[in-house]
Amino acid sequence: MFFNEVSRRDWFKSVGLGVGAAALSSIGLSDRESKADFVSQKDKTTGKLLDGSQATPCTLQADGTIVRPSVSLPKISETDVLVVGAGPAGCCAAIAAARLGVKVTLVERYGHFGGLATGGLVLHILGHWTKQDGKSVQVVQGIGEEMMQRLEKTPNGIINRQFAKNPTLDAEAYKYLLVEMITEANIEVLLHSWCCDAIMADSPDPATGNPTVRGAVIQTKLGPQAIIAKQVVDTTGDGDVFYAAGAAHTQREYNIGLVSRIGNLDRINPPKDTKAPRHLGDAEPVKGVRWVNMQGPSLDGCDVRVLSQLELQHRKQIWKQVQEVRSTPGYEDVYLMETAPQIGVRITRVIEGVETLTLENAKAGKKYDDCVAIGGAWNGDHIGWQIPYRALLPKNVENIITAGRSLSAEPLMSDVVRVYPNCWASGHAAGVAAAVAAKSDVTARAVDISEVRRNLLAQKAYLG
Amino acid sequence: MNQSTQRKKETESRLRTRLIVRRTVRFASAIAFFFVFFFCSAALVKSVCRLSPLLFLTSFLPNREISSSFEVSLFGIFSTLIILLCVVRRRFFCRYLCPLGTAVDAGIWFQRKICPKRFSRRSLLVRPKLVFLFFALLWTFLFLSAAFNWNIRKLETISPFAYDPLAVVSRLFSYPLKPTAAMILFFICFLASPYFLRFVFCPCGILQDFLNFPYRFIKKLFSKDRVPTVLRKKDERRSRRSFFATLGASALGASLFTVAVNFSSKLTHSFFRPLGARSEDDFLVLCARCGRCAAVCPSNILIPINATPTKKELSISSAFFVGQTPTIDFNKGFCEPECVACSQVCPTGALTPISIKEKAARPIAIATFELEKCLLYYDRECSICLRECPYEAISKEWSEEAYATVPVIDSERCAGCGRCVAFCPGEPTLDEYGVPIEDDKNASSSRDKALKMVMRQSQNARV
Repeated sequence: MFFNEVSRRDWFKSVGLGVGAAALSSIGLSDRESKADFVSQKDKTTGKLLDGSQATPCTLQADGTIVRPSVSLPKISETDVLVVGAGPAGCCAAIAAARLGVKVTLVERYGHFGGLATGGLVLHILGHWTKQDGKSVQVVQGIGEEMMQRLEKTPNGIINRQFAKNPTLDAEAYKYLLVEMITEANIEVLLHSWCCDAIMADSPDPATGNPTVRGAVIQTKLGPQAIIAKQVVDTTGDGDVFYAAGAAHTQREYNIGLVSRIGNLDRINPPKDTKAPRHLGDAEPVKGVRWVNMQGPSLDGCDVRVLSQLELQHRKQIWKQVQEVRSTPGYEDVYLMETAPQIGVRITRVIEGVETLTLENAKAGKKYDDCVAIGGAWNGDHIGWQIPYRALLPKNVENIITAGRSLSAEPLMSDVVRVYPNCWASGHAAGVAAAVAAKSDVTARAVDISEVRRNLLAQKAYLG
Repeated sequence: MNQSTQRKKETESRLRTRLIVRRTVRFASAIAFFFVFFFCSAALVKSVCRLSPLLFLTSFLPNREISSSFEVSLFGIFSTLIILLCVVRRRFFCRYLCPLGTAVDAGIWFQRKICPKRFSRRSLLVRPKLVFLFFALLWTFLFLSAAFNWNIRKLETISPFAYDPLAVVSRLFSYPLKPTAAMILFFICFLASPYFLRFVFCPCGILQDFLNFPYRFIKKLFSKDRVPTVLRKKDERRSRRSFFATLGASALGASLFTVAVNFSSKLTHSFFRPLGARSEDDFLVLCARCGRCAAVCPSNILIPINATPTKKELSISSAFFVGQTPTIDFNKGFCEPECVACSQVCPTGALTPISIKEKAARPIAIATFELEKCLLYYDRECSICLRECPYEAISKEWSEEAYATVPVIDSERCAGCGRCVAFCPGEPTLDEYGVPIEDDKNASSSRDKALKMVMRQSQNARV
């Protein structure tokens, strides 16, 4: 009923306007400063008695429709650049923006950084170098390269760092490194927060007439809370923010697998001429540990039923695979160390950008004026491609930049830009662009590309 | 001076002038052929090949689609002119234009220089008539069988066009020079008696004899003034050795043909053929083994069957007769989607010229997939075949049974270009755990690949 009468956009407006007006006191954690009070509470076990008046539940109406009440949301933060999703792209974006001196807020749904690279246990760094005229060139540099360099100094951080090879990193080392780098950059961090909605300005952008994003709503244990931002970078991978903001996009189905790690591989002692079992995966920096990838069926990674079903199915399969390994003579000591906390969703929503990456253009080596990143393929001819800024910009919404796997690309191209050196590079570009836009107070679309490129180069990014 | 001496002198001076003219012309033509084969465009070489009366005649075979570009029509006039000259002048092509004829005559001249007694001018005019008759009949029969599609299974591997002198010369310039059995045999024949190649064996020469025969016959009937007596006088000092060498070489050739006729039906292999190839039977008859298709292929994937590993499985006679026909080696690369060059340059029409549009509809092979050699089977990320297929013929499908994604090839779309095979990283190298390493640097053509090109069912003409 509610959604029938009031358009979605109007509802966003009401949410945006109502921010800060009500419902703050009853929830308690209104902004960052209140953290201190939270810690100083003397008697924590007693807790605080609440009468339940803060609740604004939805209603099941007589006709069977379920209606969410129109309420004002508490504002948890106001920032220059809001980065939603702290995967490889998001972390690069946040760090890059913060280094340009703007206030950055980083929102992450899990309790750690790194997304699929850590929580998803996808440890391979694929496609950070390409072949140009027979020579190998590292095209993903900047913050991505800095991360690899710092991982090299971390014990058990990274292997196969030789030039023109595909390195593998360790999930825990990378989690630690990201904590270090994000703290250094002085970024406001909100973990355990799912982005559940976008906040739109009450009037469309005067220049283009498109709706303008003004922030995002995160779902926390204390209910939805609002973050107001000058620029939003959507690095959720699933495009949660641009989806909520009503940007045009394509919904894709792609392989969804579940990665696992097995241990004790340094203790195997197979008799001669034993055929190695199939699911032994790949080496990773920690001795005796291997990570086992999984393709999985092509399904809609935004469908919660699909994800639930696959979690069950994949866990059974992984258990079966490990038992197969253990039953091979000499491999009895191998055990299942962990299954990835995060299911390996590869591609879901892909933005309908102003420019779209196509395989044909990539093979032809198309050059763009607004090239902000260069990505590469990890096999075949090791082709590289320029990623134009316009591929990060949605067609019909202002002030939102996407990066990572959800950037505008045709299906076969998405398959190669989804790997995380490409995410590092596009994330880096998105972060810099958002910071430049926030600083100069223009929309993301109107940002000065030469300024963005200059800043990217200053941060050691490779632009060809 | 009496009249006969006068006449003799006149004849001799006329012959000498003719000899000088002929030598100049054939020297110039040999250089021209060399230049064309080495430096000129494929289309020009094709037209030049068709200057040979024998190859030119293939265009009059039923259903041979020869494109009528300017070049072809221009050279068509030349070719017709040459045929007309062949009608009125005995072996005109051999004597004036044919580079192989020039080489053979140079050989004869050289032999005479070394051993003037054994290889006297007259002894070389010996013609073992029976052997000549055998080849004349054989070539005629084969040519007619090609013309009327008789499809005599045992004979189709022997193509008269394969022994056309221009095809033979062209072959030297197109395929990499490797001494093959056929070439060695030719060389032995040449050493034993260049005369054999020149007058007895050469199908083009025999054709010219046929062309010239009516003219000579009529001339003989109406002319009282006969051909110079010097040449017609019976030879007293016949070189026996030369005669036996000729006979021996001819016998060798003839016996090889017999062997081939007996064994060619045992040819059970089928081969990939270049674009626009006719049915295997027609192809084997028409293909002149000139290697023009191989010479123009930008990917260098066309090679003679003799250069493939399959050669070992062929019988000697099969290797001899089909060994020089072109086949595709997908280990060397793939067929460029935007190229139909091989089909365009065939001088005999063994390959029908096709357009790029038609290409997809005339597949040269089909890709097959073997799961256990695929990186996806070992839980790796790979989609290179999907990405590289120019015809979008490969898609991924989930296999619950293998718990892996499996590339699926759409046989309708697959044009058999082999690009997927070229890019397939192949069966992975193993690390210390016996597990495949994802390392495409070591991917080489010799490695077993998950994708493989095979013949299509419909293509398989000979089983």
